[in-house]
Amino acid sequence: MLIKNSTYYDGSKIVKGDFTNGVSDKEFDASGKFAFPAFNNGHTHLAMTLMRGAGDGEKLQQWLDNTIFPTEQRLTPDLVYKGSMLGLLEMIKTGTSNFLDMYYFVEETAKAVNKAGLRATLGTPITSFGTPYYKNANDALRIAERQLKNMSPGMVRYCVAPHSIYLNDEETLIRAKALADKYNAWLSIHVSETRKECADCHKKTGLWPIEYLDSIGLLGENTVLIHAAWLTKMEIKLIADREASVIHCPVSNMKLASGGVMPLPELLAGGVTVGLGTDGASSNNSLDMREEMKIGSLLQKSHRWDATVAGTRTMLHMATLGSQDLAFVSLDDVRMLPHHDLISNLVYSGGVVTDLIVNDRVIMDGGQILTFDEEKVKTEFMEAAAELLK
Amino acid sequence: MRIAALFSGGKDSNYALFCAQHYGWDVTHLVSVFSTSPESYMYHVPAIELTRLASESIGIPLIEVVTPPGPEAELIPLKDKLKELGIDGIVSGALASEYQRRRLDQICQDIGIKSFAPIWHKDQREYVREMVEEGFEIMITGCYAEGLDGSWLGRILDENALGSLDRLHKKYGISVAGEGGEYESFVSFGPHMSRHVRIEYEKEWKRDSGKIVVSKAWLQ
Repeated sequence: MLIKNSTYYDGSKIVKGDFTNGVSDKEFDASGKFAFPAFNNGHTHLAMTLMRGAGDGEKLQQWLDNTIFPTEQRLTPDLVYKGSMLGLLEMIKTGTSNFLDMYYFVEETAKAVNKAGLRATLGTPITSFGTPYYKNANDALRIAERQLKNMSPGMVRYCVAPHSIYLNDEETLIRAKALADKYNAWLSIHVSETRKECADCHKKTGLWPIEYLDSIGLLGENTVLIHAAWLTKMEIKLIADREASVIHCPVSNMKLASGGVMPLPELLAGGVTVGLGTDGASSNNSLDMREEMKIGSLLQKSHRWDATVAGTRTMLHMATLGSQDLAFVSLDDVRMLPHHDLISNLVYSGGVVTDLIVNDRVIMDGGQILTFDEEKVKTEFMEAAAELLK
Repeated sequence: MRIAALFSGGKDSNYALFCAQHYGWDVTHLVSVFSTSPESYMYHVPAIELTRLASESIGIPLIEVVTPPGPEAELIPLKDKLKELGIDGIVSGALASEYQRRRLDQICQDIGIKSFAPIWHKDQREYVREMVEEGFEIMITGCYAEGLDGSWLGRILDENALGSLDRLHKKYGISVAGEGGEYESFVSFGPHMSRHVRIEYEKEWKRDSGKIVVSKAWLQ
């Protein structure tokens, strides 16, 4: 597609004029708009939009035990589809075109992603206990393999997503990695989110979580470590040596009071690929990557007493890893004025996303979603959310 | 980030060190301050000689700073020593004492380094409970408050001891974390240590306060 009359960020500098994105010969007039790589949300539980605001303010374990786990036992494929559709609506409205997800009834989320026209890599959260989606870890692994085996080229990819060290036994973790390797897929796993998780792992194994994962062969180039909020320098070196990636979820970590702060400068200095993720809408509570960039930057600066770390370009790079798509904001948006530094405006000040182009296709045009009926999605979602929490 | 941890051997400085290590920071030194004052203004005295063993178990070299008596004079040798270490900042176990924290912040400001206090203003009761749950072995080494009798000396904090401290908090208002100087502690083992510090001691009790007097200590 030929993007005409645009002001755009090419990954290193702001450029004005026309440029191409994708292979079609269609044209998109971007006059008066700032184009930037659409966001890639590195960690979500998309359909948790259904639980947004439920149990807010509770301590992590109480929140999980009293609100999240019991509610998730009532999930159905239909509810997950409707929750996913609303999550996708929010992503489009905030400039996200791609995401790495971990949630139940993956087929429903895949259906929603295809309907919306975005990209996603989806994984079933594998746990040792049963869920409405599967009986046990063995069953979950079987479902994950079925998804990988049947994966066809397209906008939806699959990955293997063992939930965490603490919700899986060692054998399951090892089998999950073997499955990811067999199908050349990502393996994503929550790790080192809380001090308790680290201390429990150390008590049980004598090793810190990353060290433990490495000892059982879980770290590799296809491993995506989610959170990594509490890391020792030895663990940072292991992640770098094994070329694993890390997803930073600053808002979720702060909201759930994890206490730790991912050592971003140390990881980047070690050459580690670090992305940004919102986590689910029930622990954030949005899926807005612009907020994630801003708050992530502020958290690092505040935590380290250092205004030079986590700069705007770094945050935008982390928020748009591998992006092939385009999002647009109006250059006349009040939060984009003046134009001293458009990247800084985008990261710290914001601006309403007006358009989204994904895989050579306009998904949102001047705020209007072209792939589905926004109002219908909202109506159905409200009914689904009420049904789930009744 | 190169960090020196102010280290008394007590629970607060150990937990601050533990946090800094798990922030991914490079903790290059432990710094212990030995005051010639019988009643140090900032750093607790009874168990400080055990810090050498703790340092060995933690695997981070110990810098010992001897300071003269007096709240301000104590800080000068500490500041001079920190200046020499080539660090970006310090981490301290300041929990609620404005007095302690302000003075540390000031000397760091003077020499152009940062002063981090990871447990500052955390819920004291929860924080001590978490330490115990996470495997820190916290021994009471000095008692200085009504309600804490000689039986507390040498006691390791566990669920029962924490319950008793809760009851004493209700009755006498003492801080469960000992932040008001109600008790002093020593961490004889924790997840950041490779070996236990074992201690033989006598109890020394005078009127309404007491401390342990270490006769022998070793790494096991």
